[in-house]
Amino acid sequence: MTEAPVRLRDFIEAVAEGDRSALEHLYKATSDKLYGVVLRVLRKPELAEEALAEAYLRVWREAGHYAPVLLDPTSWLVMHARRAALDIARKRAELGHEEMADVSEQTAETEGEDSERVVSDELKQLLGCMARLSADPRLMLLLAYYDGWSHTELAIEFDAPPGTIRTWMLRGLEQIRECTGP
Amino acid sequence: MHGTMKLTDDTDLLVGEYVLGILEREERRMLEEIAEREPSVQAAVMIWERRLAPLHELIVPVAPPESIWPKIAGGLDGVVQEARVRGPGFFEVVSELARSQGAATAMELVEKLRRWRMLAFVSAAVALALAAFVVAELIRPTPLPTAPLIAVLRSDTFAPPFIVALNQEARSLEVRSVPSGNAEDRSYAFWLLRGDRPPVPLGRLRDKGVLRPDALKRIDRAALRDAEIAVSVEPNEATAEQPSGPFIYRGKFE
Repeated sequence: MTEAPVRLRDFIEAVAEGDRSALEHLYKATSDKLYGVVLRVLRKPELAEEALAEAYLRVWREAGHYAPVLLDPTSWLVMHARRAALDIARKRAELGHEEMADVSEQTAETEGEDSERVVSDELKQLLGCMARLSADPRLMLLLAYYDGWSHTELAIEFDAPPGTIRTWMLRGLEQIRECTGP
Repeated sequence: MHGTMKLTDDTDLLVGEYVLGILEREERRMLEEIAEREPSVQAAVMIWERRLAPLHELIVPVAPPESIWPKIAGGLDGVVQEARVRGPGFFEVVSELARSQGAATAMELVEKLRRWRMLAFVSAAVALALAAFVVAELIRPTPLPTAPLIAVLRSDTFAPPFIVALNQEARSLEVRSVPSGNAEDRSYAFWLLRGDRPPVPLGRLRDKGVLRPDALKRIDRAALRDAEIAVSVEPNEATAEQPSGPFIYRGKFE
């Protein structure tokens, strides 16, 4: 579902004023997207539902902090959804509940979904920057962003020490920073 | 300020790791704590969010169960909305970035930030300007006397940092993040440095862990806050009270 950014901004602005109906409008306009985000990270619907609810409660609490000049509305909402999902994922990993999905299956899923998608110039530029990375670090960055994999999980999957994974990730991030600018 | 640029660059990349979503739970919590009180780190978070945000375009929307909205609506009464103003200093940091880029106003800078391709040529300078602020903010003593003191220990080469936390109550040093493993016969030795005094051994670890040396109990808090933590690599069997080689990582508490 797509919604004009200006309208989403208005909703967030009204939410910051305590308008509950604005939050419901915002939910209707964006929950499909945010549920896709958290389901991708957590894989299990019951966990994704918990994360989605937590994400909108955070939006309700922090709408007054939203600065549209820094981040577009959808990106700001996705940021909260990812944080809520990652908090749950990390907590479960620490308790030993985490089950890692098959990396080859996930990668194939991403490529299949994206092959015919129309993407923005910003995404094209970012993907162009990521294309300059070698294959493994690029895959790790994508697994971290989309699937919420930590250093430890990547170290297990790629059979490398966590320190080595971190070195690759930092180099990758540095290259992306240099390539994209602020 | 010694070694400021390297340290700040590490901090900015640590923020990048946070936004990417790769940090472990404790590291995430630590970064969020710092961002909560440091406007410059908040600004770095938003810049990394903006940088990686286009990736979300590829996420396929999925309709959630209808039962979720009523739960959210029912939970709103228990959530206090935060004040509309951002913490003091946030927009000052953005303003400083604007100044460093020759933009007349922070808003003008933001307009520039919107257009990535126009900005590519100033990226390094913006990163440096931000890095300077991150350091200026991070090296301030924490106003909370009982909060853990955090230090990022950096090397002279491009390598991920150690992150250590000093528990001021228990007088223990928790090594939260280790850059890489050692050979089996080597371990990391941690040292406390205070001015020209000889290094004080704090103990050895091969990976993350907690050190509880008696030495930390004998030094008052103010001195600990000003101290520096250094790391050398030592043979496992060595018992020397002095490092056998150079310090490969070092850093001060925030």
